[in-house]
Amino acid sequence: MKKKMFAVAGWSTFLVLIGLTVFLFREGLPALYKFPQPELVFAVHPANPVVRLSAEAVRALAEGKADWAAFGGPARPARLVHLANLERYLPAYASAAEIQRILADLAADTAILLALPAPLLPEAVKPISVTWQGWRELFGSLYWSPTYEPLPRVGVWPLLVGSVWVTFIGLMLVVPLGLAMAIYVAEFLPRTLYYPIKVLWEVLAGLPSVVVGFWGLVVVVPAVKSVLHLSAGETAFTAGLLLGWITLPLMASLVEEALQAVPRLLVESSYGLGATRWQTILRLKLPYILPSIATAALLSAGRILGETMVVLMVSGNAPLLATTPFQPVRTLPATLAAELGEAPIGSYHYHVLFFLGALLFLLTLALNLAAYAIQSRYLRAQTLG
Amino acid sequence: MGKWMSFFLFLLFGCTDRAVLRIKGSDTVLPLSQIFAEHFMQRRGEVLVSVTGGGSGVGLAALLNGDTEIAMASRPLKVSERLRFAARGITVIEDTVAWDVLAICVHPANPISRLTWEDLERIYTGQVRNWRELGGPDLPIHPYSRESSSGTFEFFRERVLRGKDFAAHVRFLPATGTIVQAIAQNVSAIGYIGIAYTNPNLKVLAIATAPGKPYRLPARSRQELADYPIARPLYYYYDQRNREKVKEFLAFVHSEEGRALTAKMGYVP
Amino acid sequence: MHLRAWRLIFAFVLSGATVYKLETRAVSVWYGSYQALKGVSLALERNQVLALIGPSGCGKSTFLRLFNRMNDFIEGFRLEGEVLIDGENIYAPQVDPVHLRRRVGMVFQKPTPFPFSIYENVAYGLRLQNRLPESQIRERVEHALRQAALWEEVRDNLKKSALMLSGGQQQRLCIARALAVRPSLLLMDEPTSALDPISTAKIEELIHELRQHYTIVIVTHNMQQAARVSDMTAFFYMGQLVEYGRTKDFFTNPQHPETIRYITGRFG
Ligand SMILES: Nc1ncnc2c1ncn2[C@@H]1O[C@H](COP(=O)(O)OP(=O)(O)OP(=O)(O)O)[C@@H](O)[C@H]1O
Ligand SMILES: [Mg+2]
Repeated sequence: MKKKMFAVAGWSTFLVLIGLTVFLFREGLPALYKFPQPELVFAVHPANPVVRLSAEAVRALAEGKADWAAFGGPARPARLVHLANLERYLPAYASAAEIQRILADLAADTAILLALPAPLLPEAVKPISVTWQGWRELFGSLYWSPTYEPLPRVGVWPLLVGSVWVTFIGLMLVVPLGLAMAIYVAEFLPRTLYYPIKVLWEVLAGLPSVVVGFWGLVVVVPAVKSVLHLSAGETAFTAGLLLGWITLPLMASLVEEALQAVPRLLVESSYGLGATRWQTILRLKLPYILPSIATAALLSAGRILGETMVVLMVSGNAPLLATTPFQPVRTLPATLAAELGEAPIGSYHYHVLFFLGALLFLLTLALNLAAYAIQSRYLRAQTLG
Repeated sequence: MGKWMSFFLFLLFGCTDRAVLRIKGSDTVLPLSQIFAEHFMQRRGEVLVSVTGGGSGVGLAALLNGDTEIAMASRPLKVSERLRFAARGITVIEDTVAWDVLAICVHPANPISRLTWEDLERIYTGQVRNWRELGGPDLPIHPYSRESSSGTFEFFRERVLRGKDFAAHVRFLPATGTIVQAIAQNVSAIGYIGIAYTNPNLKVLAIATAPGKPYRLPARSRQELADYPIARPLYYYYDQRNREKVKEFLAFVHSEEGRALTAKMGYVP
Repeated sequence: MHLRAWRLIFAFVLSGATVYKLETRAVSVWYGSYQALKGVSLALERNQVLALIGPSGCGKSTFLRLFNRMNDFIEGFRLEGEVLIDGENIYAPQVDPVHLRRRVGMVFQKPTPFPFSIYENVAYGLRLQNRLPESQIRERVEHALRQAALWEEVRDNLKKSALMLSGGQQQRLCIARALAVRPSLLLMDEPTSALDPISTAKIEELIHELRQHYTIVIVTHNMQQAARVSDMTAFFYMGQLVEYGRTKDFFTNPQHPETIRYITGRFG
């Protein structure tokens, strides 16, 4: 009976997990092949010889960074009319007929580039095809601006790099400090303080991240700014600092448990050979628990990588391709958290966000698998003796 | 069985034989509508006003389906929505209930006290990166913005930046409070926030709509909006056929008392 | 002059009159309120093998671990009486237990190889002290492995993990590791209890070899082993040293009724 209950619980969890994964990838993969604006038709003046534009070309034209001549058209900057800026050209209460008339007038301009739903398109224009290569847009672009009209920018590199910076800084903090804390607690802390400290760790680990994030914003951000003489405190470094700090209890308790688990006979052997306490820690215990340290570091990295709220509040969220950790960054999970609510279900933005989710999932999975691999190899080596 | 059912229905609705006015839509307008509803019901006990959020699009869709009398929106009707209403034969009336005026703020220690609209655009699109270029100190400019999920973000991009994209170094923060915090801490910062959020730790800039035009501080009245158009209208939309039903409520909104409430909430009536 | 002084000392030591390799004087040990040893006095000469026997929990390990002050780590440990090595009270305040342990090797009940290479295991103790050149370390590692009769088996695999060795090899590795720091005293706590008969025989053979250079104290539950390897045998019972004497006499002519009951296997 009991066994059955456990089996049901285990299997249902497993199935839900599988379901979630399938969902994640099913919603994410369309980002690779879907066109971002399927309901829009791109069109130009019939006198314009252009028949085909890349997404990059459309954006260049829209922003005035290139004119038609660059793509074989008239030597004039493009005038772009799309759904988001259409209002500019329309009076307050335009009827459908008026809208059609105004659009027809606009379409008489030879430099026009229209991006409108088919029913709105004036008759006298020439539809062109706009190519969108999902793979190249996602991995070949360095810009992230997924709601930009008429075509989004969905380069994931700024977000990936942002996540990597934050995780890296977090690890630089959490690994040495976690080790130091673990060693202190396992080796030097008076026994009477042991349980109070452990409880304190749990409390720290359970602190709501919004609280940490706000504290970071009010205290750490200005501190980082003034101590490091930066011009602004919202940086990858700040986020890494806070996340490292949040993850410290996890790292420290994993390492501390590993330290406590070093077999007593091995420790005594070391002392028996004339090792001092520190020699035993540094030459026997730390090498002995190295796999556990690596595992703990990987798990901490996974935790830092996935953290949302704190990052959202202190990292600045600028989708820059940061070359130093002292620049603002936007991470994968922060992007998901900030944008998923606004993306209409089934829209390209929605698919791209799920694609990011899938990326994040794969990264975390890789970290966990690595941790697991180290742990199991180490266990095998242990039992061989 | 039928008896019980009708008794149950009586319990639910019967005891209040009140006219129901449903208001649905934008979460930005929601608190304002709630205040209106509260005060309106205090005075007109027989009308029940129910206010629900969900977003501008949700409210307008409900209006299209006849599920609400008033749709709240923090943006004008989209063309596509306009066409959809037209297809159903519904004439929607737009009523601007308030203006969400944006203040452009910097740190009090920043000597800059005014900018042109052009400057603002160049700052946020990344063409200007140092305050020196605008006659200020030799400091990098750190522009702050709300996250892209906010209506304020879209308004700012479409109306202030005229559709251009934000530069990659613009820092996006999740709430207005965090922007206030960021600007108060950073001499090189600039940001836009609703006027209700301004405080003495921030310096509000005067803006000129074009070179040569007068520099103006954020509008406090509808008349001043002409010279300070960085303001987002907040709308009520309703079906023309429901005009009678919503008339009293809208009259209240635009009454002396309603306007006072609007101003108290930090919007321009 | 020099020579004469040495000769004098030599004669003095050989005469064995006062300076024993090991000596305990009325040693009592407490773990908190529990008394684990009750007034144990015993002396052992140089290059002798002492076997400690007795039922489980009688205090053998406690007694053995007095000589390298391994009990110091146990909370609530308290000692009365004196423990002397080469005539020096090792619990005197000026004695540094870390230095003491470099003179005393210890081998445990189970093999305790470190998860390093064979070479690094043996070199572990050498690297703890003042820096030796690597060539010297290599020499001493080889010497220790030869002493522990393991050299021929591992000479080509020094870089391999010590965890790959068999249990018996691991135990001999632990002996080599202890010998590498050149102790004069070797403590062994049931060194063969986890080993098969062949490995056990090898270790016993090793003890025979080692007694030429070392004084050895060994705890064992195996009466035959005690009889085979030791010169002296001490029988502990409930924290007391009940009988102590030459191994030959001990097993052929035990004095105390508890000893008789224990060695004839009619115990508890
Ligand atoms: N760390 C400790 N704390 C408290 N009591 C202890 C501790 N170690 C040993 N004892 C107690 O001291 C007594 C002697 O223990 P000891 O380990 O010396 O016995 P032993 O003769 O070696 O037994 P065995 O043959 O089982 O190894 C036992 O009763 C044991 O319970
Ligand atoms: Mg024992």
